[in-house]
Amino acid sequence: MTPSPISVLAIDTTSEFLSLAVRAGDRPAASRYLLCGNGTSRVLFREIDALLAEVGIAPAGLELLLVAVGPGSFTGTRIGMAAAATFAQVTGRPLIGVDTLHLLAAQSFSNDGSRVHAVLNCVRDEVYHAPYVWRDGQLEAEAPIALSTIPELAAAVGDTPVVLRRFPPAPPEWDDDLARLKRAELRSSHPDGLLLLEAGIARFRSNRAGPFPRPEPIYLKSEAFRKWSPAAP
Amino acid sequence: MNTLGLAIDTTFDDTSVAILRGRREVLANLTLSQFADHAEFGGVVPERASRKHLQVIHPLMERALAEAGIGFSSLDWVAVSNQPGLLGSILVGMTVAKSLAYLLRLPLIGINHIEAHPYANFLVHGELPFPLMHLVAAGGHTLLIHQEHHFQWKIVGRSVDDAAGECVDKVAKMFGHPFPGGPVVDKLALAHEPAPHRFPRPMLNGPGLDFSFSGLKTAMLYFRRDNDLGGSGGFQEGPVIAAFFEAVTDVLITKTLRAAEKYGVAAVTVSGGLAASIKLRHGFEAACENAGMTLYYPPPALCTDNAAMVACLAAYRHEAGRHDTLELDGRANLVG
Amino acid sequence: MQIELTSLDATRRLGVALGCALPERAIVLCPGEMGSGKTTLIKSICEGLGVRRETVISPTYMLVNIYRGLRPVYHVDLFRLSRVEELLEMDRCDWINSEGPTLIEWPEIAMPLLAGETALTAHMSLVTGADNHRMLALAGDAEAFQAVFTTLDGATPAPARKPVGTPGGLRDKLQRH
Ligand SMILES: Nc1ncnc2c1ncn2[C@@H]1O[C@H](COP(=O)(O)OP(=O)(O)OP(=O)(O)O)[C@@H](O)[C@H]1O
Ligand SMILES: [Mg+2]
Repeated sequence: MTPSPISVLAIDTTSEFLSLAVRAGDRPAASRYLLCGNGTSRVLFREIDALLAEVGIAPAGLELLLVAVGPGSFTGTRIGMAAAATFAQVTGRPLIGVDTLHLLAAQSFSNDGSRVHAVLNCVRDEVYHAPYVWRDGQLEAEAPIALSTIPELAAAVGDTPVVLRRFPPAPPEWDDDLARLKRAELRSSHPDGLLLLEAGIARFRSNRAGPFPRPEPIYLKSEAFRKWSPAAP
Repeated sequence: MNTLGLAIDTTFDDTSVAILRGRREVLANLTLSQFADHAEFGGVVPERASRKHLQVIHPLMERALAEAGIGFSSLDWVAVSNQPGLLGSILVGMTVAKSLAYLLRLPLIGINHIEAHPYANFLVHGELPFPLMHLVAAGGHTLLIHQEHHFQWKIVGRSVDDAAGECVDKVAKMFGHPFPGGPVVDKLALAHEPAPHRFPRPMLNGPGLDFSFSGLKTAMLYFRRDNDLGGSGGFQEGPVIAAFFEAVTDVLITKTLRAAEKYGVAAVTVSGGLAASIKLRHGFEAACENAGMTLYYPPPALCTDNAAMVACLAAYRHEAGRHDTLELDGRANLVG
Repeated sequence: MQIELTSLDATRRLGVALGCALPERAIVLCPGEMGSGKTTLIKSICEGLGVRRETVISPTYMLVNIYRGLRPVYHVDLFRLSRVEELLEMDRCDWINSEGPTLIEWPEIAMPLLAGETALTAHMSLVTGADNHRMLALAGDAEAFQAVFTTLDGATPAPARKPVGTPGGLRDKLQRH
């Protein structure tokens, strides 16, 4: 028996792109992916409103809220999470968070058993990364998100194809190192809101009864920062 | 017109939510720092709760609605401080407020946190007679604001280096008290006669209405360096601090009254964190009585940052139909 | 480079000259004890960057002040932060200016986050026995801050002058002295 379709809004503001997707029952999903730099807060509600109108659903009709929880821009992440959490609070509907590396990995083809390593730069000389595997059409993380230098990354990745996303200010001297990594073939050219919709709904279905833990923003810190304390020289 | 409004303030360290009926019936006024136990608010450790707005604002709103005995659907408007402060902090409160306005189809009102401070006085004293001279002695600013009517105001004096409260906190630290030491200084100043030492009153004799407190901070630094405290023949801490605070209050009171006189204003208000000082309040009471000036002072709980004062100003804005769109922008602490 | 600033005026002149000679997106770290004159120096550095002097106030409470100059100027004060995490939870672009200079008081807590940045350090300290003197120790990459070091090397105390709006103008004047 296929599960009955539900109405869902997905919000991802973790990068300079605003990414939204909505699905109203069994109608086809609609999405937006637009560059808005640090103007997310200005355009967010205009875009959400247009998108909901496009699929013909009122905010009160939403049954599930999805949000990207980072890693990414801290301020950007907080904007999306503040909005999604308020939608969930007012409508009394569940809220599920999905991390951004999962969304990167989800850009790859879902051939059963295929592995992919998601890589994202956020910190000046380090990258966030994590390995994933496709099983039965579901993407599973094989290890928690790590923060590493480029040489460490190369060692961790090996021959696994990567999905790479770079944000400024990614140092250009990375080019050579990163060019050596094998790239995964992609079914989606960017981490579209539709991928968040897919991942979030899968999570919702696997845990119908809930409750869903309150999503926390991901602020990963490198070992160096974690070890450092004001008392140390 | 007894509207119900919800106001949010995340411009600074604290997270604050208030619910107001009409212009001044405060149904709830919650700031995170007033709670010793943060278990209810996502388990943030109290001393590490600064700028944790995203983690705590939703539980705080829930609690505020419960205290007010209403649900989201009863609200008539939503307000949020959109300036000045740290943009990253402001955006959290602003996004929550916009989400509420969008979902509940309510008018959104963006508030300047600084303009809101004096409204702590409107909350408790009712309509005040315009024109007014406001002294706002808040964390990062010491300001004199001349207000001719609601929404018509102008900053006529400001701190050009350290704000008054900042100077007090830093001097307390020089004398070994944990930061921020404002309350300790107030206590000492109340308990002791000022030492005969006369500390500088920066810019008191100049013609302008601006404030400068870094010179006084430095004078205290030199004093602390050059004198033993507590020893025989040395100075006692209490009287020295009392003399220091006398210099601070002298400057604040004299400049405020001078500003009132200059602008032909018969009533002054005091607000902001430093207004919680009882010593300052006593000083203002005596000086205003002398000068035949009416004085308005909020209770201490409304002096420090709170969303009730934001809500009060927002209620006036709502009545006047001064609403904002969902494209409202946040403004950082952009000076000049 | 050590420079004794023998009066407020000397601090002002040096600060303006320093501001004029700063590279476009310089990071200037200003350590020094309370009351040593960090904000006072930064006021003049900002003046050299085309910011109105009176607008420069202590950012101890607000953490970051942003001024309108020839380019935006970030004036940061980390005195109230006790843990590096508090900074890590802010986007870097919220406290490091990507379009102009960044001047940081009480920068110690940020040091692990600034490794690899070419920053100029301007350390202010009190001078015992002379209340209106301050000692300024300037250190930084000789190449990146060459303009700063050459300008200040030649800048013998000049008579007080009116603040000059444009950096070019001031540098010309300094060279004429
Ligand atoms: N030559 C000088 N240069 C700079 N400041 C001086 C000098 N002589 C005296 N001063 C005084 O020293 C004080 C320095 O205060 P300022 O607020 O600039 O210090 P700060 O280092 O920023 O302190 P804080 O740690 O509180 O931020 C001012 O009152 C200033 O007038
Ligand atoms: Mg300072």
